[in-house]
Amino acid sequence: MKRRVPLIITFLMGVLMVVTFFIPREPFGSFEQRMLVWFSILGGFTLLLGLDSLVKHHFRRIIRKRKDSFYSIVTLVSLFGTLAAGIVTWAKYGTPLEFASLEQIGSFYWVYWWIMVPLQSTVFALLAFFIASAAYRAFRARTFDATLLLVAAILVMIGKMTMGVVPAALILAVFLVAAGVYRFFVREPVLGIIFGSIGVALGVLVIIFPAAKIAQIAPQVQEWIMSVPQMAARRGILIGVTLGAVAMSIRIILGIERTYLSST
Amino acid sequence: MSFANLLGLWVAATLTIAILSFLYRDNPLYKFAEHVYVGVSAAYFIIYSAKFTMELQLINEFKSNLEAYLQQGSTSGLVEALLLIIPTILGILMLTRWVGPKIGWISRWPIAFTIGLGAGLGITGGIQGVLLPQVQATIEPLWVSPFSGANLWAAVGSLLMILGVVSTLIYFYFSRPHRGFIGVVSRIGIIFIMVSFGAAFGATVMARVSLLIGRLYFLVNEWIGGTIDFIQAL
Amino acid sequence: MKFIRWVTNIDRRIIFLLMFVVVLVPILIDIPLETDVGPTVEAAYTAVDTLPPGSVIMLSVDYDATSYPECHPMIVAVSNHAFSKGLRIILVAHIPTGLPLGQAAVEEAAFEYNKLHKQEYDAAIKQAITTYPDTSSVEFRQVREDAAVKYKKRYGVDYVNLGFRPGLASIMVGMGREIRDFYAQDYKSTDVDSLPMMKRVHNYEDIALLASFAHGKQVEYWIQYAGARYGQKIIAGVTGVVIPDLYPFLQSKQLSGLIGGLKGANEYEFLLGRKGLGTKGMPAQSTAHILVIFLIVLGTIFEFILSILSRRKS
Repeated sequence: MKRRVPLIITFLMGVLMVVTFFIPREPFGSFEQRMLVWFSILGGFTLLLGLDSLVKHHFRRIIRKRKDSFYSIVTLVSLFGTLAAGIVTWAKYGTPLEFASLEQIGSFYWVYWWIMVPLQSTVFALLAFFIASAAYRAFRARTFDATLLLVAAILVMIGKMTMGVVPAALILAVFLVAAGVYRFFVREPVLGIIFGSIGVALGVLVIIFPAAKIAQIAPQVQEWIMSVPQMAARRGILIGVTLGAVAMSIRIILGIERTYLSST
Repeated sequence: MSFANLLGLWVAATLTIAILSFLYRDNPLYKFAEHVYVGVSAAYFIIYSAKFTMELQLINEFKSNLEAYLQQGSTSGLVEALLLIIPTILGILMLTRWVGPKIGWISRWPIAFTIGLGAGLGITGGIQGVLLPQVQATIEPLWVSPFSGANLWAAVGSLLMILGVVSTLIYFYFSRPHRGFIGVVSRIGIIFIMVSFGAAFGATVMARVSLLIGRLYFLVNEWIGGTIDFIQAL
Repeated sequence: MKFIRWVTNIDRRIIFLLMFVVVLVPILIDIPLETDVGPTVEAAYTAVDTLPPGSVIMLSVDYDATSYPECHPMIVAVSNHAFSKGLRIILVAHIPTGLPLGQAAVEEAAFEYNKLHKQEYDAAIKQAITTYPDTSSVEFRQVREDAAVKYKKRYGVDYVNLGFRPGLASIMVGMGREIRDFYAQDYKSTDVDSLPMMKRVHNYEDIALLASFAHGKQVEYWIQYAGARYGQKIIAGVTGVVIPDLYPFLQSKQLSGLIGGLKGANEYEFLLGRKGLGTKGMPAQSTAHILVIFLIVLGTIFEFILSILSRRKS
C-alpha cells in the first residue's frame, strides 16, 4: 500500500499522458483533459501544504515564550489579519480581488498593494547591493576563462545602457590592458599581447569615434553575443538538460526513480 | 488621491525602509517587516486556494452540474458532479501530511498522481517542444537571423553557432575522457560556456539593479511626490 | 601593498552606499533619454501591432512583485498597446501573488483609454440624443453601443480577467482543447459564457497571440505546451535573468519576440511613445551598470597587483 500503489498510479498516469499525446481522439482526449483538470485542482490543495508547519511553529514559539516570540505574534497577526481582509472583501464584492477596493483601507487588494508588494520587491532589491559588493570582492580574472567571462558580462552590461557608454567602454579597455599585462606575469605572453592590443584598440576607437556612434554599436555587440556564442552554449546545455529530464521522466514512470516517495 | 491610498503609501514606504535598513545591519525593524511578509503571503495562498480552487473549480462546478441534472435531467451532469469527488478526496489525502507520518504516507497517492502526470507531460513536451525544434534549428543550412537580413556576417554567425552547440554538448559528454580531439573540442566548448555564463551574469546584474530602481523610484516619486500632491490638493 | 589590502577589504556598507547614491541621483534629476530599439523588442512590438482589430491577445501574469520594475512596465505597455489597436485582452495568471499586478495594469490601461476618449464618447452620445430623442429606442441603443465599441473599454467586452488556477503545464495543455474546462468562471465567479467577448473563444485557435510576462521557466513551458503542441504564437516579457535562456527559442522561431529587462521595457515604451517606469528608470540603470563595471575592474586590478607582488616575494 505504501509503495506499490503510488508506483502503479505514477506508471498509469505517465503512460496515459504519453498515449493521449499520440492518440488525442476520444475517449483518450477527454480522459486526459479530466486528469489535467484534476491536476489543477490538486494544485489548489498543495497551496495549503506548508501552512500547518508555519502556524504550528509560531504558535509553539509563542506558548514557550522564546525570546523572539514577539515576531511570531507579528507573523500570526499578519496571517489572520490578511485572511480576515480577504474574507471581508470577498463577501462584499464577490471576489477578494476587486480593483476598486484599493480605495478602502484594509481591503485585500489594499493589503496586497501597500504591504505585500513593497515587502516582496524590497527584499529582492537588496540583491542589487549584494551583487555590487560581490562584483568588487568575488570576481577575479586570474585565468583566461575567467577573463573571458568578465569581458562578456561587461559587454552585455554596456549594451544595456542608455547613457554613459563611452566611460564604461573606456573602463573595459583599461580592464583588457590590465588583464594583458597580468598575462605577461603569468608567462602567457601571446594571450597578453592579444588582450593588451584589443584593450588599446578599443580605447583608441572609443576616443576617435563620436560618442553617439559608440552608443549605437554597443547594443549591437550585446545582441550578437547573446544571439550567437551565448545562444550556442545555452542551446547545447538546453539539449543536454532536456535529454536528462526526459530520461528522468521515463525512470520515474517505470518506477526506477523513487526518491519522491521517501519525502514523507 | 484618496486618504486610503495616502495611508497606504506611508505604510509601504515604512516597510520599504524597514527592509532596506538590513543593509546597515540586522535590526528589529527589519525582522518585524520580514515576519509581516511571511504572514501576509501565507494568507494569500489560503485565500487563493479557497477562491480559485475550492469555490470556482470545486463548489461552483459541482453546483452547476448538479443543477443541470436536477433541472434538465442530464445524467452526464450527475456523473460530472460525482466525479469531482475524486480530486477532492485526493486533495484531502494530500493534506494528511498535516497530521503526521502515521497517516501522512497516504499523501503519496495524490503525489504519485501529480508526479506521474508531470513526468508524462515532460516526456512529450521535452521532445516535441525542445529537442526536435532545437536540433532542427541548429542544422538549418547557413542560418539567417530572423531579425537581420542574409549576409556573410550571418553565415559566420551560423557556423559559430553550430561549433558552439556541438562543442558544448561534447564538453558535457563525460562518458569518454577529454583527450585528443575530444579534448580540443571540449576546450572550445568551455570558451562558449564562459561567454554564456558571462552574458548571464551581466543580465543578472541588470535585473538586480532594476529591482532597486523600482523601490527608489517608489520612494522618491510615489511616496514623497504623492504626499506633496496630497498636501497641495488640500 | 598594505593600502591595497586595506582597500580590497573595505567595509561593504561603503559599496552599498555607493550603489544607493548612484541609483538615487538619476531618479532625482529625471534625465530624458532616447533609445535604440533592439530587434527582439521590435519583433514583439510588431507581433502586437500587426494583429487585426478584434483579435484576442492572452496576457499571462507569470511574475510577481519580486520582479515588479522589470515585468510590470511591460505588461502596462502591452495592455495599452493592445487597447489602442482594438485588441481584446484575456488575463490569466500562473503566479498567484502576481495576479493583482496584471489586473491593475489592464484595469488602468482601460481607465486611461476611456479617459482619453471621454470627450469623443460624450460627443457621440450627445449627437445620438439629438438624432434619436427617445433614449429607449433601438436606434439610440445601437448608436450608443457603436460609440462604446469605439471609445470605451469595458469589462467582459474588451477584457476579461480569468484569475488564477494552479497547475501551470496541465492548464497550458488543457487550454488547447477548451478554456472553460479550467476557467468556467472569471475572477468574480461570473460565468465565462455570459461574457460577450468569451462567446467565441474556446481554445488557442481563438487566441491570436499569447504574451507571457515571466520571471522564471514559465515561458519555456508555454513554448513546449502551447507553442509546440498547438502552434500558438508566443511573445514574452521577462526579467534580465531569464533573457539568456530564451535566445535559443528566438533563433528557432518558437518565440516571436522578446522584451527583456528594464531596457526592453524602455524600448517598448519608446516604440509606443509612452513614458513609464521603463523609460524613467533607464538613466539610473545606466549609472548603476557603470558602477558595477568599475567595481569589477577595480577589484580585479587590485587582485592582479596583489598576485604579482606576492609572486615577486616568493
